[in-house]
Amino acid sequence: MNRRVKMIVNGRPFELEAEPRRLLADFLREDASLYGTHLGCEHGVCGACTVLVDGEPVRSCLMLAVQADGAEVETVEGLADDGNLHPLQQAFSDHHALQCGFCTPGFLLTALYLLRERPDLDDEAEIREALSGNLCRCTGYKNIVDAVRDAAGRMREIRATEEG
Amino acid sequence: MKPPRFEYSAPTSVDEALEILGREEDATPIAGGQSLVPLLNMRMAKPSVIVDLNGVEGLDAVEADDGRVRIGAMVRQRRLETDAELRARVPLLFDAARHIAHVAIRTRGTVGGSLAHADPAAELPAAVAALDGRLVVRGPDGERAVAATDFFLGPLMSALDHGELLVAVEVDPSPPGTGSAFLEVARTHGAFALTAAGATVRLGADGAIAAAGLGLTGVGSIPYVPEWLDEVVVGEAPDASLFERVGARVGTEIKPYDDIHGSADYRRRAASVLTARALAAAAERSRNEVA
Amino acid sequence: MSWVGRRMRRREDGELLTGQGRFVGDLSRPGMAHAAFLRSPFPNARIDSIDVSAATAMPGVHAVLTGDDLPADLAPQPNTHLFGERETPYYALARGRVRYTGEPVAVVVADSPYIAEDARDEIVVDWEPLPSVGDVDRALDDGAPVVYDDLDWPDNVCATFEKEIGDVDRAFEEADLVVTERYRIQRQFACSLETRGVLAEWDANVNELTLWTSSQILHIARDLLAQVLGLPEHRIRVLVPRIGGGFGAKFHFYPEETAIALAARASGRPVRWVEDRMESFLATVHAREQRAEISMAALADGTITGVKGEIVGDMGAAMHTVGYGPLWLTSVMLTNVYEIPSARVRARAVVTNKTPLGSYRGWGQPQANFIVERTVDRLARELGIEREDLRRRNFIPPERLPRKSLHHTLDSGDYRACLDRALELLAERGWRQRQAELRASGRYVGIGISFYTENSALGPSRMLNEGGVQQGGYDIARVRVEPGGEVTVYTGICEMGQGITNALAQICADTLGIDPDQITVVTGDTSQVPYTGYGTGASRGAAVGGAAVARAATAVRAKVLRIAAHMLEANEHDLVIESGRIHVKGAPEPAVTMADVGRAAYIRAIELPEGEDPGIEEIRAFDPPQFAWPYGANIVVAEVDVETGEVSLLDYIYVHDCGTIINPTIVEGQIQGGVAQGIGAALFESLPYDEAGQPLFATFMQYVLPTAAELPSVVIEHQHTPSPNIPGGMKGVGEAGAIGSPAAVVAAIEDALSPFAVRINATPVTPATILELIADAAAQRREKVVAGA
Repeated sequence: MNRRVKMIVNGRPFELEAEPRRLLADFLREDASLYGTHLGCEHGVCGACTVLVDGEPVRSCLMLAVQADGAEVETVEGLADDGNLHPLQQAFSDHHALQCGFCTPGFLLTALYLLRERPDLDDEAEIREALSGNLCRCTGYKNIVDAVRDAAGRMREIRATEEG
Repeated sequence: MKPPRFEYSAPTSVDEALEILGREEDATPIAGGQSLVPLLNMRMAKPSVIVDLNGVEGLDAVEADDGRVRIGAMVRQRRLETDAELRARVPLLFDAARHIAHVAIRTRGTVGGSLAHADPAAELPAAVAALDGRLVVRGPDGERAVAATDFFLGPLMSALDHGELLVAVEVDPSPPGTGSAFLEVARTHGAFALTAAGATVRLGADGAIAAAGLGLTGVGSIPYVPEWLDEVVVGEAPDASLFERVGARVGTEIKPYDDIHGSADYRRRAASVLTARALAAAAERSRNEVA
Repeated sequence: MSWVGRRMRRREDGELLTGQGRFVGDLSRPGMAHAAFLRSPFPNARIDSIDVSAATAMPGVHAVLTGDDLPADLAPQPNTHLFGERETPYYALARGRVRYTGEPVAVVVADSPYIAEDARDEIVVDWEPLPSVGDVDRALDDGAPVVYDDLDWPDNVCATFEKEIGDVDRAFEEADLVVTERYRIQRQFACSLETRGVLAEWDANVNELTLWTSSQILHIARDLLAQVLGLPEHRIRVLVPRIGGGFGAKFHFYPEETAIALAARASGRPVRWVEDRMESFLATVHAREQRAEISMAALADGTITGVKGEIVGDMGAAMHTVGYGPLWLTSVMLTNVYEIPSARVRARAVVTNKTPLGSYRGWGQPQANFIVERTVDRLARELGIEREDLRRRNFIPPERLPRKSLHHTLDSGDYRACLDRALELLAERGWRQRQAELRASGRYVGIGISFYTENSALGPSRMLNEGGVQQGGYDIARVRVEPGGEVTVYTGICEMGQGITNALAQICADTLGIDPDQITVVTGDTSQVPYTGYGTGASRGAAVGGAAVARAATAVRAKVLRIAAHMLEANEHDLVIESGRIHVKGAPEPAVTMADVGRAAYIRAIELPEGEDPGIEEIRAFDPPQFAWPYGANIVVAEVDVETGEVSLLDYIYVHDCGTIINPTIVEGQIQGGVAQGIGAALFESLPYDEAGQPLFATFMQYVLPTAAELPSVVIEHQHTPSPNIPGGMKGVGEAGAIGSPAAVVAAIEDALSPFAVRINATPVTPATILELIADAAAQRREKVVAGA
């Protein structure tokens, strides 16, 4: 039996009927037309479908849409602010941290959470470990690691400016 | 890779959940879903009803007093990492949790889900067994506590009966001065353990070992805990040769399995090494704590 | 000032970073339905009957097709690389017989992927399992199950290829030292993060098919589809949207492309299929698997005088789109960059009941590099010569290039300078000393070296056709100046994440004297872009595609200058174009802009010179006269935990020469990514089967891809020897990183374990294999001691 599912996605309310078995990823992609969340494995390993649910990263392929009822969801489409790239997105472009771009949304959301939790982050080994739940087949990760580290610095600067 | 059809029920109390689980032959509880949903997507699990525990009240609390720490089944694995107080009380759970997959899994994955799933390569079953923990099981006839060493019966098999729910795990808090370590070999960071060893060691004022615990995963169908550990190490000086002897004996007693990632023989050898190293690391931390 | 050679941000990044990139799985058509495939659970079986009645009856199901529903005149899936092999016909859906687990048997069309899978699970097949073989050595045994017994094959050898140069027997007779080694390279596959996907829409009114597919071979896919379906090419339009990585596996034409087209026709709806990850492990071509025995003959001074190779390729159950091409390339690369006067190789392509083998970054060259470079290391050890010295002694020197090798003609470069620079970097980073110190403190640290060359810029069409390839090697580009003065480039090369549109824009910008941001590059639509001979692979996009763009842009430039000369009343030969302004050289005024010229060409013909045709649009082809041969050195520093077998890569040095570099940032990204895949091959990735051909893998739990925590940052330096055969001098770089890396990583591990004297001749090297190797070497030493006593 279908259930009514309500969630706030990137600040906008969505309310739809969903079969209980519908994966959150399919809800976001097919029902909310937010195709930026990509499905790379549907068994929780690749991380391409990572989104933030109530501020925490989850695999949207391992969560039922009905379980996100009432939640706030952030996807890659919500990162840029009025056409201005988020510092993470800008750093990814500056460092050539993406090639095919299929894994990129998952990396961005993972990194967004990481830098919210750990704004002081600068150590390469720590960044590598924190990103190890997202697979990339194109870049060899180096440029992604560099971009995340650089973005952490940029975000610290922005905060310092705002606070100063 | 899309789940088959199932009915979905979202009870708000344990009793309500138990009622549905008891009534439906093929009902499956879902906690964090990090093991169940992959099985659904692969269509290797086809439950008639999924009973979602995420809205059940009272399962996500951590309660602690001097005598015990009770961790609700729905406490997320991530909390084992981020809850400083819990870490101080049971450091081994912190050490073990960091090896469970990745953050985006641990934010959903629950303590109870991992224990009830009883995967022979999972971290928490070994850690809870090393801590001599008790699993609190509730069924239609009330609550019972099962020792961790009795709870795990085989690969994906536990002492949970049909219609029963794991509601919490209880462990004794590690006394001050306890050092812990959880060491793992996996093909890649966050992958399932080839084998892993979790250890606690507390050194006495005389520098000798006053207490120790040890649990291994990936070494057989259930976690391995050496019953003879106290006998062999308590009162002894925490030196490398002692820990290597323990490791060697562990290697002779475990019954690991072959898979495409490593032979049983490999697991045996790695488990011996990790045992010795984990005990040594835990002892070292205890020394630092005491100092 | 040149745009070629500049680091530039990529034009597609904004789209991809904001989640706006559209891959096949993101596309939708009105009334679109979804497909799911039923696949064989057996490695070899007859299909006695299939009952689809329950599946067809399910609500939301629009069609179910099996082999019996295929058009009677449907052709088998084609192989375009015919190197003299037996035919291995297979169809869009199995017709009465399956030969590998995962072979498509039926396709369901339904309202959603969920329902399609529900219905798939209701299909009942009456299987008759047959004896099967999953191991190539067993497949060669007398009495082994014959995969094509129904076609009366006497055995499982699909093809044998032999090649010889020089006097091999004499070289081996006169050698001071002969070493012989056996190697085993495991099955792997490209494993792009985006799986494959197809969306087909069939317009019954005009009998026209539109197919969106995640393919590297836009036109070839269209032509092969036309061939299989019996349609004229112009009734089929193939589109390639964003691709989430290809790496060769999407260079193939797959049964699902045909089946989804037929499903769209049968159901009367657009049908989309996105391969799921589990089926991707069985349904997308596998790669690499080979066994090899190689012998090298050398003189005491280290001169290598001969090489012999016996290679067996496990091709799986059929010759896919590229036949046994990768195995062929392995066999003709056995002299690498060395001046070895004699060589003999025999390669046998053997079928087994496994997923068909196909393309993956490097296309046979990583295997050749592994077996040659590992054998050179062995030779060095036996001769007591440093590994780098042995290589220096045998490199073809720059003054003797171009030089015919075992099969190909290596073009240009200075191999020694390249290796020397890599060794210099190793020294600068202090590794020899650090290695000694770490070893003294009880740690096991090793250094590994390999040197590669790569067959790129594929390739001269006549040579390809002579060899049996049923495709050209040229590329065609069209360049157009629009009425507003902006420029559009049309290319048959596909964008799959490698950033080729940026490179082509930079080339075009230099030729025309305009900014790259004035240029749009159109890819991925057979109705718009010119034909490409060979598609997007073989490291040819920048070299061959780029040269075609340069040619077309040169022709456009000539016309622009003619029109501008008329407008400026100047001599066209005196004019220059600078940032889109055209004026007499040295005199910035008067000037006309590209927009002025565009307006004249399309809107105000009155401004055109007498006799000049309106419009500015030129189409040119480029067919390379020779291949190009980039090359490079990999140096790896690795540490091994000899108690657990864990490997850490401490440093990675990569010095290479790929000719002219268009965008260094993109080139470095290609190398980092290629090396990552080579490390995956060396340490992690494997697709093992049991003896009967049942896969022992199903998910990412078994197929292990390296993560950020395992991979090193590669230190990269470029050297620049322009290709003498490619206008612009580009040599290509897409595959390079994957070729030399497995050998170097394994060499570093072997060096780290030198106290145990282990030999590593197989990949992947896992923690378990390392402990086994150490134990085996210890056991052998004990045996020797016993035998000696």
